[in-house]
Amino acid sequence: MEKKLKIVGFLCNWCSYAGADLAGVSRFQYPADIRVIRVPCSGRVNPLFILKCFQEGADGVLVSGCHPGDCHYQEGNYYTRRRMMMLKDLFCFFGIDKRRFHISWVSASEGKKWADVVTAVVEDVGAALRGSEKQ
Amino acid sequence: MNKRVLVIGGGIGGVQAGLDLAGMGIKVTLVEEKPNIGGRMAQLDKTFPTNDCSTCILSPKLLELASSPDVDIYTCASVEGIVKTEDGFVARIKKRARFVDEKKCTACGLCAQKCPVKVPDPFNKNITMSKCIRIPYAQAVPAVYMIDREHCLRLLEGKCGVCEKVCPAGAIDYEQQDEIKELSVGAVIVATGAEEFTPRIRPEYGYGIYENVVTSIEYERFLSASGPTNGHIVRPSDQKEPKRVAFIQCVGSRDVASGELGYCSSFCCMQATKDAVVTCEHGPNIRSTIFYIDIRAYGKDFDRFVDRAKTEHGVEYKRSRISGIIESPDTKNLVVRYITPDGALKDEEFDLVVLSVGLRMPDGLGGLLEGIGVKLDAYGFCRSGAFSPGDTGVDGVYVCGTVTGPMDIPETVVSASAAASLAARGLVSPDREPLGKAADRKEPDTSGSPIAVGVVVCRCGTNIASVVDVPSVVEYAASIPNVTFSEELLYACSQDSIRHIINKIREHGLNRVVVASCSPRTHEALFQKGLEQAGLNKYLLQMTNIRDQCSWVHRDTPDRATEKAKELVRMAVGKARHLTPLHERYSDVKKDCLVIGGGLAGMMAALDVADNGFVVHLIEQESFLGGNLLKIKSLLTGEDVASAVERIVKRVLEHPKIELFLNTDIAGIEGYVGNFTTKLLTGDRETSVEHGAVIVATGAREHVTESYGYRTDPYVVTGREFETILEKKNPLLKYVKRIAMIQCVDSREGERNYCSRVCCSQAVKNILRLKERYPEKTVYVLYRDMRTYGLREPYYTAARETGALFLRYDASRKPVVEKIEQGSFIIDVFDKILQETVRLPVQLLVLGVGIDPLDTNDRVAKMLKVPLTQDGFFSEAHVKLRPVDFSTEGVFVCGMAHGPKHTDESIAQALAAAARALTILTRDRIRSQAYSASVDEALCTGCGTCAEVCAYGAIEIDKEKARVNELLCKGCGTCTAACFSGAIDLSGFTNKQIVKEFEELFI
Amino acid sequence: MIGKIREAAKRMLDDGTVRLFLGYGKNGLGDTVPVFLKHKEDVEALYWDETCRYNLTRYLTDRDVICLEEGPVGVIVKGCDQKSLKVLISEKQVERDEIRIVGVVCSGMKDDNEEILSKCGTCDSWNPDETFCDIVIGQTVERKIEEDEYSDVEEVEALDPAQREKLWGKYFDRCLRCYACRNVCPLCYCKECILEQNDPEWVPPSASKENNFYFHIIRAYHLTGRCTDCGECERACPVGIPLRTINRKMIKAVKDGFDFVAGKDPEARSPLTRFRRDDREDFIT
Repeated sequence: MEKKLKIVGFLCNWCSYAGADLAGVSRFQYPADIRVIRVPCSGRVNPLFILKCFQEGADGVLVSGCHPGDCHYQEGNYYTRRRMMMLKDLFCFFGIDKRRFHISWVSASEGKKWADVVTAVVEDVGAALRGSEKQ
Repeated sequence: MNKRVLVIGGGIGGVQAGLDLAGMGIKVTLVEEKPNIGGRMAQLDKTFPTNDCSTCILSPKLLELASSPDVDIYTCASVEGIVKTEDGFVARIKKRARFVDEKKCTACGLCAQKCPVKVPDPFNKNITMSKCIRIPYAQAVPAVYMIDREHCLRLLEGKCGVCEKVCPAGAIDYEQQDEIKELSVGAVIVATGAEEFTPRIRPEYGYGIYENVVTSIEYERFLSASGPTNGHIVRPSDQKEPKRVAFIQCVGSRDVASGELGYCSSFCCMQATKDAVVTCEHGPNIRSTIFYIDIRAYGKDFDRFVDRAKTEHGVEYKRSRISGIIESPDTKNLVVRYITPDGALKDEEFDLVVLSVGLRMPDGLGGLLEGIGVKLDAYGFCRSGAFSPGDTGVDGVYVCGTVTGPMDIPETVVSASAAASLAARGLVSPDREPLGKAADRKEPDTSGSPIAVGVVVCRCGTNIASVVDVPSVVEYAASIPNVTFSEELLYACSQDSIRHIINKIREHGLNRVVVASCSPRTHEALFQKGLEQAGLNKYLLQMTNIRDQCSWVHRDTPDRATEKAKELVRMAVGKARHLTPLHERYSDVKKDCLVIGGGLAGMMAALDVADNGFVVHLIEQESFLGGNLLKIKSLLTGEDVASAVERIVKRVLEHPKIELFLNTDIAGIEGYVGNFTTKLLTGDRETSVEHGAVIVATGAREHVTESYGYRTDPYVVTGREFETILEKKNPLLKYVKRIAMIQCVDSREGERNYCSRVCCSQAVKNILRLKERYPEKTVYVLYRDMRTYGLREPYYTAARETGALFLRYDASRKPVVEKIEQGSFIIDVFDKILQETVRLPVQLLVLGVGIDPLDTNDRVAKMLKVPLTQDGFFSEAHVKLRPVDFSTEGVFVCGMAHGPKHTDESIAQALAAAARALTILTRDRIRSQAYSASVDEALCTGCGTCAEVCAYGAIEIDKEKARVNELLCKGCGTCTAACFSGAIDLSGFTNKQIVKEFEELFI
Repeated sequence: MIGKIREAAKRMLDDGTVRLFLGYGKNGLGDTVPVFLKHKEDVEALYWDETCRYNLTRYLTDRDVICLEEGPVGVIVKGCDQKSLKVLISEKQVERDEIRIVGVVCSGMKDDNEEILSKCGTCDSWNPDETFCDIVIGQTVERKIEEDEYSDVEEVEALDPAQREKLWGKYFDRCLRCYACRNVCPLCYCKECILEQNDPEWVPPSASKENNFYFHIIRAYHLTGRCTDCGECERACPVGIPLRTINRKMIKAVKDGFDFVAGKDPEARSPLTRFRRDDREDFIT
């Protein structure tokens, strides 16, 4: 069996969390490696949360918000996009495998996409860890 | 005037009407014949097109109604008669004995466990057996048992009496008598609904003859996780999972032969699509096939839902006429015999057949209504005029829901809100109890006491428990530090469970509660209310979602799902430890209303709010009122539009409470529910108005097409233009002998993948008007699906009878128009019946072009902070149960701004939006949210980064410190993530709470 | 040069233009140190040479020492320091009219081995901005500015992730968590550094390689879009961690991502407080 992963997902309440709910209502199946933290907006996700997760032993982190233009709070996700862009770049620079940190846009109507995103993230994080184990 | 309103019928329509009236501060008595409220919606598994769990979205509304101090609910009751009096009505209400004391019963269920008499369960359509003393379903409201008097041994023969012996509450009362109550009310809303067609009277479908033929409502019970099969699809004959399921449409609808049922039942196409999708999701090996005449996916996002059913779930759609259904006696399989569009007779075998039964009016309602002068139509529906939806012709008596004609849930909700606003006239009182009263109640100070977390793990019937090992989660929870109590509940959201939780909070002195169940998005408010009732601050609740985001999505790995559920509970406890009591803030409500748009919907909404005594600022960009309606001459149902518009415009102009702003744009809107300030720009003159609510009624416009040579040839016109040609008796009509109407131009595909809802009816209307005057003219209608839904169907039938030829085309094989010369075309269209391309020479092309959203919607949406759909129409808060609300409080939508719709639908929505706005305007104070940013001044450097990223202008830098206006703060937290110092934080989602939540995962 | 600086300081202190003057001086050992002058008589203590490496703007946010609210302060800035000052003004830490800026033309600072500092080689502002400073002292230097190639950053970027981790691991293993890099940074003006807060505790205080990793990521992230590459952190680091490479990585990222360079405009805020609807999306899953 695949290694069990600990992936923390920060989901905005209005789109991604609703999309994840919809995945449930639609019974789209995906791996059980993700633990979701509900936040009002992806803009609430302090980059320090992500660092703290990694520092405490998270295998991966996913931040998911509304699609650009759909933010319930109008602009929150635009700031998220810039913050995460920089943070991811910084991670890479320090040698943290970029496959361990993901940002996605999942709307309230994208149950299927949520399932697909989690599946892809779990695969990516798993691959990153396997890669580092080899070394 | 008597201030009470009688609502007859406790389905979703009656419930919504009751909620809106109570929201306006009007007392309500709701009378429901069944032992519980919720109606048919409670029996549904899911709702289209979002596949929301029906019970999940309904339950909170039912509980809200039941807990309203302004609402009396009489269940097991019926209205025997209504008499008009000087200031209203006197209703005679018969309350049938339950033989269980409603005040004493705790719904513990011991009585039903011990009751020896088994009877068929009506809630499950008699598929399973229940007990003679029972509650209809787990989440039933009110949660009170009832003895079935027709089967009870004690009542019939004086034997047994077990329930009385076992009832710990002493609630059983065999001596209870039916009661008659007389009630004076100011107005009456009839929301009694329609009933399902019984297919027994059409033996060719085999219902009642073959075991494996079921109705769509019975099938809903099969699909429901709390239904007779726990959500497993099985066929009745052998309890095996079917591999091939057929859905037969229009059973009891569009039945011209029988005359009585010549209408369309509106919702069945989508219900079947939803059920077919859900069926396919049950297993990869189940195939769903829908046999239909036209797919009537006319609502918002319905076409996309059907597309997904086809492409993602492999649901097969077969256009056909059903000739009959025959059972193979050995296998009990069913052979569906049908006629294809090209006339071939085919047989196909299925394991299970679902009959999509339509709605019909029950016999017997007529007596009550006709007694007070309300007239019913030929089908028995209580139909209102197109310009007066909800009206019965009798002052003070209003109707909503399917009693007015077949409709789906959101339309029922809209019509219910509309009826509420009509019934409210003259009853709205300006001085209301302030909303803050309940919340001002003292909460015990728990800050000093040690943290005591109670964990409730919900089984959700089998929804959670069939995958997650709930007992082990409960046991694990008990081992988490600070958890002093943990237990499982069958349905944590049921009324008795909430009561149970309240008791446990008190009993164990809990000061934090974790509920591991479904989504906080749907159920947080419900549990919060429970905490409040237990005397705890409601923000000491933390939910974690082990259903939608665990059991439902990790079905195949139950062990890992259980492990995840444990960790989620642990994380929730981690956050719960650091929860602190939060308090909403209050602000005064400005009593005026802003209505944006002076078309039909805007005018009707404005009139309704104004008629209820509130000042309305009505904004219109143009120099005149009336909008799109000015371009329409008459309605399908015959009403003359011009005179109606003239009447409405006159009322608006003369209304003392309406302040009209023509030629006016909105320059900006600021504020929040109860307290908006809007800048208006009339030419160069800027004014500003203050108001408590906003109704968006900006409308939509006719699509401008480039297709089929429109705009290059005067003989190519739109349906609306053709209407004008007809009305003005344009000389062109003399020359034109053959006319082709092409429907769905640029619609239902590509970027415009939605149905404009009105064009089919428009075509039918034009045919009827044309043929009335020029019966000799030839008309071809090239269509994809004729969507003359509901009571519009008989007009379609009439149009066919005029000799107009209806030819269907596929989106993949559109008609090809060859222009011979101006006013002469040849259309090549592939005829499905002949299976070849036919060439139609015509002189006039009439295009059904549909409706586009306005380009300005985006701007208005941004100003109001409300979303648009991907098609560009305004997106309501919930497609089923909040059809005219936005997520942003105090902002409502109606008319075509929301999506294409007919005149009567626009007006109903306008009235509904008005009703919703009135629930705010009638208040003196409004509560703002508790989640808000706040600044730790010791840490703040005053750098202003937080203010830079705040979308609401809620942060100012004052004396080198950031300061948050809590009434403007929407609680997004974007500022908190921008601050380097950790000086600004968001209550309810603090840095610490979030960190402590995920830290638990790594302990 | 020194004369002109002393003259300017004297005039300002004399006519009350400033209450306090910040400049460079020498201590008893001959080391260059910052000096804070209150009286015109003390201007002889002012000094100027190629060892005036400190970024004096760091002291402007030290409210207990400087007390800007008590009256204007004069400060000597080199072209590079002036960028930090612009950021401080944009972030409302210093108000432009609270200070008198004496820009000094610089031809590159030297380290103790008389080598020109690497940051000075690619510096594009040896001549302070005359529109920003109150006065500029020194003859305008004509020089061809070498294009900053970010070769140091690219060298690291060329490594594979594991090598990068190893490289930084090597440096962070040495880090003592002495906070010198933070203390000397003109833009680290928080009242209580988030890296020293403990509720929640973002980084454990003990100086392990692992903890230091996150310490430096947070430091770099908080400087993203703000750092002007004054290089003080790297200069102050006692164990020789190439902190400028980290900062410059983010300067490059900000330039590439948002077409923004910090320290050019005293009105411009960090690009993280702005957005464009069409910002890059290629990193979105």
